[in-house]
Amino acid sequence: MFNALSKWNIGGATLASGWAGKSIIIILFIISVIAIAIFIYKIKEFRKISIRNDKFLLAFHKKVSLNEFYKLNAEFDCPLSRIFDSAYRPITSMSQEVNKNIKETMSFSAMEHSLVKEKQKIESLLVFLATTVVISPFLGLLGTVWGILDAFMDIKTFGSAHINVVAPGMAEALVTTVAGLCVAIPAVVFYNYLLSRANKFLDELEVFEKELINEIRLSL
Amino acid sequence: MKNALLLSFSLHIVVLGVVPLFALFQKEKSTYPVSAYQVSIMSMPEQTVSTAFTDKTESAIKTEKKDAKDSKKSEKSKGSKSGYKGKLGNISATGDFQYSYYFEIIMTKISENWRNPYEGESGKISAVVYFVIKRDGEIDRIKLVTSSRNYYFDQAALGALYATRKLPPLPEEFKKAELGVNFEFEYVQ
Repeated sequence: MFNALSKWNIGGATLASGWAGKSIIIILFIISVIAIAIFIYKIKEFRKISIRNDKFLLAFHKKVSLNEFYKLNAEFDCPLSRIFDSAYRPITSMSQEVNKNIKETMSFSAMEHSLVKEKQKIESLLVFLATTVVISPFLGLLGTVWGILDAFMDIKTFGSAHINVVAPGMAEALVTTVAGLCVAIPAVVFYNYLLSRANKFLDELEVFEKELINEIRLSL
Repeated sequence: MKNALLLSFSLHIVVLGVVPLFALFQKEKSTYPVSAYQVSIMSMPEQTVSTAFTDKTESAIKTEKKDAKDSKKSEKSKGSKSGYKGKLGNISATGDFQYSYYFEIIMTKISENWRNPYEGESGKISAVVYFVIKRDGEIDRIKLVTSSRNYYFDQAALGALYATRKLPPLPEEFKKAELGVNFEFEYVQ
């Protein structure tokens, strides 16, 4: 038999709480599942990107000429290679007689476009984690305040302000805050970790962009 | 993303499954580790309630009347052999215990700390709590034997015992080291 007063009997307290408490717990559970799923998904994606980017950069620095490298580029399939592809495609598609300046402009605008797209791809879904961090303690607090409201209503219905009437309601109410914090705390850690990694990738993209601009100017 | 969602869901289920295990471990360590703190909290509002009682407010008079009815009816109900019938309900001890004056003291002591939270329509409600009185009168191993199926009533019954904590020492003529008691909290409307 569970001790009704035990602090670990969270399940019991949840079942005893009202519909508001229960629904908030369920919402928090769903948010938490999605947040952790996003973390797992992004971690996998970032690992893939990191490995492929390194491989691409290694090959890029060893290249003989941009034109040669462009033929091999398709096998890398990473943000850097996609930027390179979109930047060099206009140059290869245009004939030799086209003005150098026009080629440059076309190439750079395409590169800029692709860069923005890759940045958005890297930062995608992180917004959900950021929202989770902020919203889940508030949701928990809402449940608690609601539960305390109920606890005070109990005083009226039971006609007694005895601690035995009020305390269980309070304990049930506080469960939602516990749940909210349990969701928020890992989410903060995961969000910061993912953000730092994402920033690293973004820096890498921008450095590569500058490098590529120089290379294209020299080659033309 | 689908795989990640599934993985995350199963992780949550595992974590939620592990948390109640802590409750089991805590149970093994000692009987009521947390309750010691609760006693002092519970005894505080008790004083304010009892002063309200002496003021003879309308509600206080009503509850007194109900208590009077309660005692009449519970006296009619059958008690156990070595027991005592009082305002709160029945007391019965394990083994031979002849000293009914001691039961009377227990009854008054506990009734001081008991406040009935139940005010429902249906007639009778009762909860049986088992506890052990040590030689020096300390209450130990409090346990709910029969639930009243009303959470607040049960908690009030347990709470009354936590708040009492210490009773007078057992009668000297009684030779055993401790006395197990079944205490019935009864409320008849």
